[in-house]
Amino acid sequence: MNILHMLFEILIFPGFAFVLFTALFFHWLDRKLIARFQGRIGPPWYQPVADLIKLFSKEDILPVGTNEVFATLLPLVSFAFVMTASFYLPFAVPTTQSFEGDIIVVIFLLSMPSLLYFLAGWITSGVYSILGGNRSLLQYFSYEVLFLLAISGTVITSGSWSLAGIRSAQLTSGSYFLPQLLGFFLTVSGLIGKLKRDPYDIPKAKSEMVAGPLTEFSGKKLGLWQLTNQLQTVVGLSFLVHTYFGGYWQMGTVGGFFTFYLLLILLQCLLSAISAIYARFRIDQLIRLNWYALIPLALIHNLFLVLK
Amino acid sequence: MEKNKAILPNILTWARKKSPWILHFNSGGCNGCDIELLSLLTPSYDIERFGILNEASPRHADILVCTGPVTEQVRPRLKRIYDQIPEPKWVLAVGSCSCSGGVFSGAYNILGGIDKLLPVDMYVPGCPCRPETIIDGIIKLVESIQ
Amino acid sequence: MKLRSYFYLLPNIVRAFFSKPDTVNYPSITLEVADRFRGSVRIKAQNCVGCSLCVRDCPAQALELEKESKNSFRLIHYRDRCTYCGQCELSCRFDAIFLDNEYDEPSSNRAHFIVTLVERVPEE
Ligand code: SF4
Ligand code: SF4
Ligand code: SF4
Repeated sequence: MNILHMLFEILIFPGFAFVLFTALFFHWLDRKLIARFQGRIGPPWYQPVADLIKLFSKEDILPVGTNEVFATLLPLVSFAFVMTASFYLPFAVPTTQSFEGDIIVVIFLLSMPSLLYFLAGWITSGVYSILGGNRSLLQYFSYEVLFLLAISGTVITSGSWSLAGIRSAQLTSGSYFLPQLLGFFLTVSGLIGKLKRDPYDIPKAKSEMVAGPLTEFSGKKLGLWQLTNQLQTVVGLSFLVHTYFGGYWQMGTVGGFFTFYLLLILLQCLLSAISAIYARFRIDQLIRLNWYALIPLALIHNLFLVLK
Repeated sequence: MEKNKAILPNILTWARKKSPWILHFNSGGCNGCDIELLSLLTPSYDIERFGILNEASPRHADILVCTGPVTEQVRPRLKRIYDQIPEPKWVLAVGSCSCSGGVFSGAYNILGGIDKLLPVDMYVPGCPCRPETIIDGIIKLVESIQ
Repeated sequence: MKLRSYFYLLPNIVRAFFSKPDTVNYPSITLEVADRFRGSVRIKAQNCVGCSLCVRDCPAQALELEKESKNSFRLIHYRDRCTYCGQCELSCRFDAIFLDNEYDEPSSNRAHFIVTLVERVPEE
């Protein structure tokens, strides 16, 4: 009975199936919202499912000279990384035991797909793929630092390196969203870089270099890469809900679950609006913006929090 | 078992019909049809409501939307792009000059029509064709998928 | 001043989100076409005398006249070659050939694009 219950938790409800469903739903929401922001109608609700089924049923081609084992493993492994991260960020349903330092684990798990993304560009020996891989690595060194610095604001205030600690600190002192608005926006900026969404979509810039590292991938592998990205969106957003909105919901309650979901949807609206408003940065602009403006800002913000 | 066999292809066909991603390629036309084709992405036509995305890489695409009369220069590249699209794939010839050579027919440097090189599944006449005709063409092509 | 330019699009997307989409739901709503739009080539068959002026002036060789005698000929139009330029309408002196403002349907078979505009057989 206990094992069945555990299997149900891992495979269906707060686990695998539910997170996948949420990822697909948020992908649709994203596309629909951007379409509506641009005055279009947008895709119907079943679109991500149809895309996924179609991609999984297509022929799988790889260029000559590509290491096939690597090309198959990379999307699988990055999918596994993100999926694992999703177990640490439960949807207001207690599953895994939170331990001291799990926030570091989650940040690590969330940043691995970007590295694998770079490798994906490197092994498929196309010009666009290699260029895209290089760019994604360059970008990696700016937004990742920013993300870590900005998120450590919550760690400093709560005095705990675990997600459960940050949540419980917010339950007593109120959410960090309003008092640390600056930190929140810096984190969102780092997250957009992680997800390679619109102003930071330099590695896969469609109008410049086809599709970046994913240019040579087709069929199942492409489907898996896209699923990874969609999953990463949901996981990154729920990370924000855990760290900045912890005071608005409670673990293990029905109301908490719905508030959690609502917060996720609102954050997705924010991301879509940012994508709809801003055009892509150039790579040098992005690095200059991050290292000259946003990272010093995050440092000052953290210093301020420490002194307070 | 019999039922399973029937359901799976049905789902596949449904998915293929609902998400045809297009790859746009100009094989030497005058660019009139390309502008009309790109206007499909604008808010007033918005082909994303049919699930169509304009992909940049041939490996992601399902339908090759090709304009132009296939010049000798572009011919090997067109063939190569077609080969790079994973199966199942379809070809849509947009514009009179991609159907038959059109206004360029008789010129020394063209092949005169995409169907001389690739199997074309749907022809869209017009010079340039109206965006509505292109939408019609894509929808007709998608409906013919089995 | 500069800061405002960063949020310049924000009111626009909010307005777009809350108003109706600009998209014309094409296959269920037909779009209006301008009167002077040059669409498919049509003919008033009784006016045509088979003089082949339009055939001579067509820049894309989209018209073909199979003429046996003065009152036995066939005027064939290849839609897949036509550039819809309207030259035939200008050239015709008998007000026979003209361009409609409907557009031609796409087809999977090129044989559908061959249209016999006039077919005149001598009366026995
Ligand atoms: S069909 Fe006409 S408008 Fe279109 S590309 Fe060819 S020549 Fe240009
Ligand atoms: S419209 Fe132009 S191309 Fe078409 S048949 Fe008339 S003259 Fe020829
Ligand atoms: S359509 Fe006009 S120009 Fe052409 S053959 Fe008939 S009468 Fe002559």
